[in-house]
Amino acid sequence: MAVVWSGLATGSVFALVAAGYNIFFVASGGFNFAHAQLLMLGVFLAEWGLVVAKLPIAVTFGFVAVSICLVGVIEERLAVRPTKDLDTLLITTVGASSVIGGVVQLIWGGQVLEVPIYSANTRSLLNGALPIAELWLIVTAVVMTVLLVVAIRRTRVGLALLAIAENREAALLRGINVPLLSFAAFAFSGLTAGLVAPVVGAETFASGSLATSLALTGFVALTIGGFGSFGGSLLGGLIVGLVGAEAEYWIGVQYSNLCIFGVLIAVLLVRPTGLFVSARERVV
Amino acid sequence: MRSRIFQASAVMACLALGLAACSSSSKSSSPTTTRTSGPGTGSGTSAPTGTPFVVLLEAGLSSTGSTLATVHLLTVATNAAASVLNSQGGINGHPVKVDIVSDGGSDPTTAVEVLNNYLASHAAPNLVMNTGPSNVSAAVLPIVASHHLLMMNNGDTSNSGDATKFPTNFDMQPTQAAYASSFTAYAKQKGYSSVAILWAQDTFTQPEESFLVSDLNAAGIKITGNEAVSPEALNVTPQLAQLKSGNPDALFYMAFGSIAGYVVQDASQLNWNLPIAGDIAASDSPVLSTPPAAGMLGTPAENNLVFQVLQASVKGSASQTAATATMLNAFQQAGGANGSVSDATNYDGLMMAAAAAKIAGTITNVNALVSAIQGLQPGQAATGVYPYYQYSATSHTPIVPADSYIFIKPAPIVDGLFVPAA
Repeated sequence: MAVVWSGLATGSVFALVAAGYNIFFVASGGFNFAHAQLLMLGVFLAEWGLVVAKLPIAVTFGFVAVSICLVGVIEERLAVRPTKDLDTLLITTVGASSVIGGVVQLIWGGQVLEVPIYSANTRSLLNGALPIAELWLIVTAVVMTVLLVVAIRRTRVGLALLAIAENREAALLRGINVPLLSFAAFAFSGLTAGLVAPVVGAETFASGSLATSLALTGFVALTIGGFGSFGGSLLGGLIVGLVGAEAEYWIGVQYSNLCIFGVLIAVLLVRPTGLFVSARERVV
Repeated sequence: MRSRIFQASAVMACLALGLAACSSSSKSSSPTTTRTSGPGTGSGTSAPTGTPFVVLLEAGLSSTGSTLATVHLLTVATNAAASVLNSQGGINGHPVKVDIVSDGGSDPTTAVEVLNNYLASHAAPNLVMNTGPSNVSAAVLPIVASHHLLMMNNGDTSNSGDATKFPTNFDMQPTQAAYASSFTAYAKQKGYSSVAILWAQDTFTQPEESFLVSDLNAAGIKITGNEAVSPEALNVTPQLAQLKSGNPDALFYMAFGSIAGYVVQDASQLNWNLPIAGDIAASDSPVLSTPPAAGMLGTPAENNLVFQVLQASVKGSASQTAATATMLNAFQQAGGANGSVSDATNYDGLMMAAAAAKIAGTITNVNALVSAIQGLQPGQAATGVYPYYQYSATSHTPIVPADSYIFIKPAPIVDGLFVPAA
């Protein structure tokens, strides 16, 4: 059971990264390849807030969320808004990820730091059988997904975002402020990365290699679930985490990535648009 | 729109260049020395009085992650050794001068380019040193050999210690066999009849794991499980759960950084209360030797943990010599050691070159210096990290004393030394 918990917790981290990719994808049709770096920066800021500045936990959450939101806004101004097309966006967001990663290395170097959200006597439940950091990660991923699904489907802003995703030009003609909503979506994805960063850091530590671990696997989770589907991001993340953990347990670490990519290929063969997204025919 | 794209690209490029410049300019110094004489090709020319003994240090000053800390430590170690030698009148009366060039982020291509540029614009250095890692050394060693330069190398490769291939190079790092045999000795001392092994799949640990398996098998200690973990893993619970099913007497693990922390954290979360011994890479991981809140030192998760350290890096250890004390003092004056001094082998490299020069009576005859280093006896070089490096005419991979390593309870590092609780 410990392996299942572990896989679900790791998968939740991937799901949160995939959700971050999805927020911007829904609003713009593009990807922010710096999202994993934003999350990593948030983890380090959480460590700074809790350990160096000795902020209360609630204040740390707010501080990190606002900070990463601001970094996201700066990234949007410098690396997203000036771009002409999605190809350029790919290059500039990859560049932004390098800059954010470089800043983290310059400030924190190669340190691995604990993010102490939970005190020593609250690290586990059920006599140690249930690590609280892992439980909170899973809960956070599920709650975040539910909130995002509700926000997208039940609010005017969410529906406007879906309209943009469906047809950007038509949405403009209908009076939707597309640039503003794209900007807001970007800022919001930064905000969510900041909000979940302390919870992620409590499980993974603050490490300069964290983004490397998350970026590609988060994208795999997104692809399995389907671009644009938040439920798909959650399911994709959990599948990736579980498959990886079980493969490591039963057949060894050298087969873990093989199994994950095997699942990805199998899903794409059966459902090329991912588990939660259906291909739609268009009249041309 | 196009102009905005250019603006954005320009801003991103400037930011990236600025960061790179900050990263290297704060720590590097460009070589500016132009020398009129240098080592010959072994013909025995003598350097004029006052000519500096030039050490060329290729350092990965723009490295990232854990590599950067090692680069910094080795750079401090080189400068500290030069400072000590100069305070003693230099090497055979020649002042020691350290030229530092950056190979970027420990990039082999840059390292080759930088070395070639240096050799084209300067007289050949008396000694070449580096900060590793192995892939950089592998690229640089052929150039060092073709120019017949003396080198003390921190990035050992599979054949860098072969004196027939690289006769003027001496590796500084002991083979991983030394760490592995220390584990086996510890298992015997504790009376463990079975152990489980966990190791991170990186270039340092893989050979160590092979040596450890051979050593334990030879000692008749049963290996109940042997699991690898990816360096990018976010936890090690699957591996620990698998190893736990073998019910070993103890867990031996070899990992650095976050993985070193995950092992302790996840074993605790699994309620697996068995003795855990981490290797020297684990003891180099600040997360284990830093107290809360930034680290795990002293937390219940570390109750069962011991880690491997170099004896000389433990405060108050009887193995510390006067040379160790001199080294530690020099480190303080050269900027301080940001980690355990066990990695600071460049200090010893320069000290061995100095001792060899004294014995050979030359700083320029490379062949004589090589012979002298091969013949160094315990106590002849004022080395501070290891008491003695044994080389031979055929092997330039050092053999260090078998009792160089011990296992201690996790302890904080203060001024380069582990300080165990009283």
